[in-house]
Parts: sequence; C-alpha cells; structure tokens
Amino acid sequence: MSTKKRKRGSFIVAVILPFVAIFAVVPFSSQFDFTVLGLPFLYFWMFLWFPLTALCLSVAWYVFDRHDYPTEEGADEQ
Amino acid sequence: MTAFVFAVIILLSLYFAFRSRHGHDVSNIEEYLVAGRSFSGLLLFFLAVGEIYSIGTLIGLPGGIYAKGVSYGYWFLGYILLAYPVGYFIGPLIWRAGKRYAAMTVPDIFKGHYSHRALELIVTISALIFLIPWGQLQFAGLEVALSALGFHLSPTVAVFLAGCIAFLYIAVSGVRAPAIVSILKDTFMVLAIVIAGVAVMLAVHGVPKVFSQAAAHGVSTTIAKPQDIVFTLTTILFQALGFYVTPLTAPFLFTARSERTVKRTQRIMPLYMLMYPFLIIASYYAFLIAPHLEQANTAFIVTSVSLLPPWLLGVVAAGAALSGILVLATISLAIGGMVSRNLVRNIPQTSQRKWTQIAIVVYLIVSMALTLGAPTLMLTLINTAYYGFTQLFPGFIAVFFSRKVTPTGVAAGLLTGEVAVLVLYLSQANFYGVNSGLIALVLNFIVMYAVSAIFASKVSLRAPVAHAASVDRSAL
Repeated sequence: MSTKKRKRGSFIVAVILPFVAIFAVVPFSSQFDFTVLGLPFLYFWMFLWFPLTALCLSVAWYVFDRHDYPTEEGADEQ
Repeated sequence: MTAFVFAVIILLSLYFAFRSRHGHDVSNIEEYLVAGRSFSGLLLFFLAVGEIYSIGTLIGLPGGIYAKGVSYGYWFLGYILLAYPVGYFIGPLIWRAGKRYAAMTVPDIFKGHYSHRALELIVTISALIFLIPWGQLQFAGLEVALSALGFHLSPTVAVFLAGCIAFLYIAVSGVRAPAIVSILKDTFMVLAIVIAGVAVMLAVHGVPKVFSQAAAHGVSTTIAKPQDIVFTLTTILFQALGFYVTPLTAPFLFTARSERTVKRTQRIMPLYMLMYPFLIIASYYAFLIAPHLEQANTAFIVTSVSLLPPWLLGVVAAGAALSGILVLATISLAIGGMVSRNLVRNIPQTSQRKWTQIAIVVYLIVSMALTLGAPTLMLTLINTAYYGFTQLFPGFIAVFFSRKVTPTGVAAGLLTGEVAVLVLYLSQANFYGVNSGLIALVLNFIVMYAVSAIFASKVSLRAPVAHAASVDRSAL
C-alpha cells in the first residue's frame, strides 16, 4: 500500500466511521423510542460506541498507521 | 467519617505531588512546563483524563441531563467521544509542531511558525481572556459539590484552600504533579461513580426501572424537534473539532515523548468513558428521589448522599475536589507559561520559571477575588469560554497544512471568530439551532483565507508542519 492509500484507509476507519455512527441516528431518533437492555436507544447506541470507537482507532493503528510512526531510537528505553 | 476520608485523600494527593519532583530538575522551564517531553503513554493518558474529566463531569453533565434529558446527554458524550478520532489525527501534528518550535505554550507554536509578534500577542491575549473564566468555573463547581455533600465551609475558605492546593501542586513539581495526582483522582472518582451506579441498580432492582420511572416523570428519551437535532449535530461537530486545540489541552500533548506515544494513547482514551453509563444511571435516579431539585447541578450528589455510606461520600467529595483543583493547576501552568514566554517579551529562559510562578499567584488571587466578589460579572465569558478558545482551530490547520495562509490572515480570522462568538451570544441570535461557535468558526476560516489571498505576503512562509517527515531531525 502507498502512504496515500494508508492515510485514506486510516481516515475512513478512524474518523468517518465513528462520526457517521454517532451522527446518523440523531435525525431519526424519534423512530428509536424503545429501550435496549433497559437503556433508551440513544444511550445504548452512544455507550456501544465507546468500545467500538476504541476498536476503530486500534484497527486504524495496526492496519494502516503503525509503520509510519517508527519507535525513536532509545525513546522506549528511558 | 466523610471529612476524615476526604482529608486523608487530599493530603495523599499533596504527598504524591511533592514526590513527583523526585529525580527531575524542575528549575529548567522545559522540565517545569512540559516535563522535558518525556511522558510515557500511561502518564499522558492520566494527565489527559485529569484535565478532560473535570468538575463538570460530576456537576454539569448530571445537571444538564436532569434539566434537559437525553438531548443534553447525547451531545455531551458525543463530542467527547468524537474528539478522540480527531485527536488521533491532529494530536501527533500538534506534538510535531511543539517539537519543531520548542513550544511549551500554544502561542509558542504561532511564534515559531510565523515569527510575527502581533499574531503571537493576539493569540496569547485571547487565550488568557477565555482561560480565566474557565478557572472560575472550577471554583464555582467546587462550591456546589462540597456544599451539597454537607461540607459547610464558607465559600471564602473553600476557594482559598482550593487555590492554595492548586498552587502547592505545581509550585514544587510543575506539570508532573497534575499527571501523578490525576492517577489518584481518577482511581477514586471512577470508584465512586461505579459504586453509586451499582447502588442505584440494586436500590431500584434493575436498570430498566430507572429509565421507565424517569420517563414517567416526563423526561425525554428522544431528540424530536428539528432545531434540537440541528443543535445536537452542530455542537458535537464544533466541540469535537476544537477539543485538542484549546490553550489548555494542546500543551499536555507536548509532554509526550514522541508522536507515536500521542497517537497510540488516543486509542485507549474512549475506554475511560465506560464509567459514564454508571454516572448517568446515578443521575437519573435523582428524578425518582428528588423530582424537583432547585439546583439541577446537584443531581449526582443528591443520589450519592441518599445511597452511599459516609466514608464513600468522603471519596466522592475528594474526587470532586481533586478534579476541580487539578484543572485549576493545569490552567495555572498554561497561563503562567503564556505570561512569561509570550505576553512579556525577552524574559531569559533561566528566569521564566520564577516569572511563571509569579503570574500564577497573581492569576489565582484575581480568580478567587472575582469568584467571591463578582460571580455574575464573568458570566458572559464563562458561557462563551469554550466557543472562544476553540477559534484557534483554523490557525492550527494553517500551521499544519497551508503554504498560503499568512500571519495577518490567521490574526484577522481569529479576531473575527472571537468577536462573532461574543456578538452571537449577546444578541441571542438563533439560526435554526446551529451552534453559534460553529458559525463563528466558519466566518473565521473564510476571513483567514480571504485576507491571506488579498494581502499576499512578501515574506516567505515556513513549510507546513504536516508536510515534513514524521521525525523532523533538521528542525531547530
């Protein structure tokens, strides 16, 4: 993969995905007037995306970004 | 018992703060303000959460939910969550700019990139204007939390003690103190929140009852009105974008030892938010036991008082107090650094630490006096503080990416944005619910690019920060 492709992939997974997930449900929230596991849907959805966002960022890091951020010499030994 | 546990935790925090100096020469200004750019991911994480989850977590969020229901909760949680993906991208660039220009404050970056004294001053002064009320907000939150918990200290004594403790933290150890104290504070705060949430679940026999009974009280569970939908979306967008560029948050990124550390740390930041379900359940419980709270801000505290044993209330009180004091400490460092490095010119590096501390003392005294003497005077600035300092975002984007934007353009955009924030707030204008900070931000961008294009600079501009290699060894 070229650097440009890696950057685009990382942007889609780490930024676009969580933003779309959090934004997309808001305009239709009146249709989501039910509970999941006892939580009103909007809370359930938000809470669900706490770990999912961490997952998105981790995937972006392991798949696309980590080679572009080399460990600096000696930095981790300090 | 409550007071005893509270006092022990506060004393413990002072002990940790003093110890954190051990083995480091804090007379060096770089060591003092940004820990010599040496923090590991773990310390960076704690410094960040210490600053992000301030007294507002225990006061503002429960209060907002109590007063407005899910629409408040959704944007509040949404902007913090989405700030981390934004930080994953711009955090490493902020660190790179900081390294390249040996920056210890936000204005240092603009000074280094543009070598333009007027721009440096405009950035410094606007940051100071909006940071001072941010500190007062912490004092005010502390008063609400401690008095609701039954600590009948006079406001004067409470504010004075908080100011003194904040000063003691940083006077001895600089930025290392808030990082270490934050480990203590977050352990206790998360513990208190989770225990309160679990206590509620046990008290009402399950989560569904909390929300169904709150709904029976007429609390909204959806965001229905078009204006509320627009407000929710634009507020999340605006605050998530601005999160990492404030004069308060950007400097803590400088403490990291590398870009890699900054980027990797962002991955775990959202996991801290897993304490929010417990906090929200505890806040909703306030509807059931006290449906007509006079002060909505005390929703979480009211729940804690009704369910927790005295020693745990001491933990809640200490967690609340430490979160307010920690933010005061980091605000003090940011303000002190800007005064000694950017506002006043040509203070030699060797005496900057002394001047930083003098500025901090003056700041804390002025803040205490304003909190006690004129609490409403600063109301406008408090309400616009976040909108105000987020206007630095376009300037950062120019430093990272643009070969065209001139220092005059950045300054003109910033001033436009700040004025727009104040005008929109004072006139109470409403454009279909669009967040007024976002409107100001758009104007800011337009003016920045327009002025740069019209008055094209003759001076050569430095290469954008993002275009340099990720490890820039040729930099100063």
